[in-house]
Amino acid sequence: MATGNGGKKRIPEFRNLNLTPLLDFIVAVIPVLLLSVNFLEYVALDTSLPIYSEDVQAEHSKENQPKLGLSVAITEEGFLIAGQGGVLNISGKNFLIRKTSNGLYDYSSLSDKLLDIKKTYPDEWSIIIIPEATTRFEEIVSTMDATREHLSTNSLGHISRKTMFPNVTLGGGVL
Amino acid sequence: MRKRLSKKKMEATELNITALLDMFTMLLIFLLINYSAVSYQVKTSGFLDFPKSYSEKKPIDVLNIVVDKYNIIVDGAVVVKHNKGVLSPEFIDDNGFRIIPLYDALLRYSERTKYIASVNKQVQSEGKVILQMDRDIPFSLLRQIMYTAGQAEYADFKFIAIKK
Repeated sequence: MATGNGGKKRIPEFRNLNLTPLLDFIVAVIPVLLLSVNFLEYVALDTSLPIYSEDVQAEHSKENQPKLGLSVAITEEGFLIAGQGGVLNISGKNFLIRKTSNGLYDYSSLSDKLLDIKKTYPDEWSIIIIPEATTRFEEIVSTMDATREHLSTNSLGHISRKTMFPNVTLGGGVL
Repeated sequence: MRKRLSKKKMEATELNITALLDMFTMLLIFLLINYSAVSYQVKTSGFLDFPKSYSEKKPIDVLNIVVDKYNIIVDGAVVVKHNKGVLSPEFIDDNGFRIIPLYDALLRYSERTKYIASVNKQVQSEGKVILQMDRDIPFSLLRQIMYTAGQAEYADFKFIAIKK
């Protein structure tokens, strides 16, 4: 078969792939994505209205028929765990979890103690958090975290979550 | 020089952009992984430090009340100023709980949402509100805000925090 060039095979000349249009496209897309990316991940915590008076509290209790009426008061000394009408009776009295030696609230001890209570009352899902007027918002959020789920880390570093009391009400009756 | 490049060879030299393209491709993949088209858009103030939380619940896009270190902001407009969580007595109702300017702003927003819901059936007035609060705000102010919002028919609260 005649090749038209004297029988010699034509060796294709090596050419670089033209990557410029691809580069143009990536350079245009990256700023758009950079503007859309959230580097901080925001999360939400659900709560309901505070309870303002004994009457409202009694009515609220009657509607929901609580078995335990678990509450955690955030005080200057630490966390005070209490049950309604003496229902909570693990060691015969209410619990006070004192602040740590450096003056911070002991959230892990609170979570551990609530896990013990959860094991005794597995059908109880509600808790009332009663902060003081001066309690900082960050302390309320951390207390909500400690009451909602118990976090434990295994040897591989994986965090396992055990749901405890996810229905959080902020009690505002105590001034 | 023993070897001298000819003029023709010098013209043929091209910039090698392969390494740059590799880097851009990796960056593009990283950004695409972190990109979320329906993520919660934080319309926040510069004077605000969020608390941190282990919660995994995603925020929803409803009415925002922002409480930064100096102001209470509803839907992007400052309604009242506070001083370290304490409001001037002229802004508080007789019972000590209801914040009058906040109540008026929430009521206006609630009425507007109800009107839109009456015209457009896809919009629902659910009484949900998102609270973006500075981590140092005391509970006394939070209690007043929650009471005021409750009076204006916003009873479902969601606090915003940064994931730990």
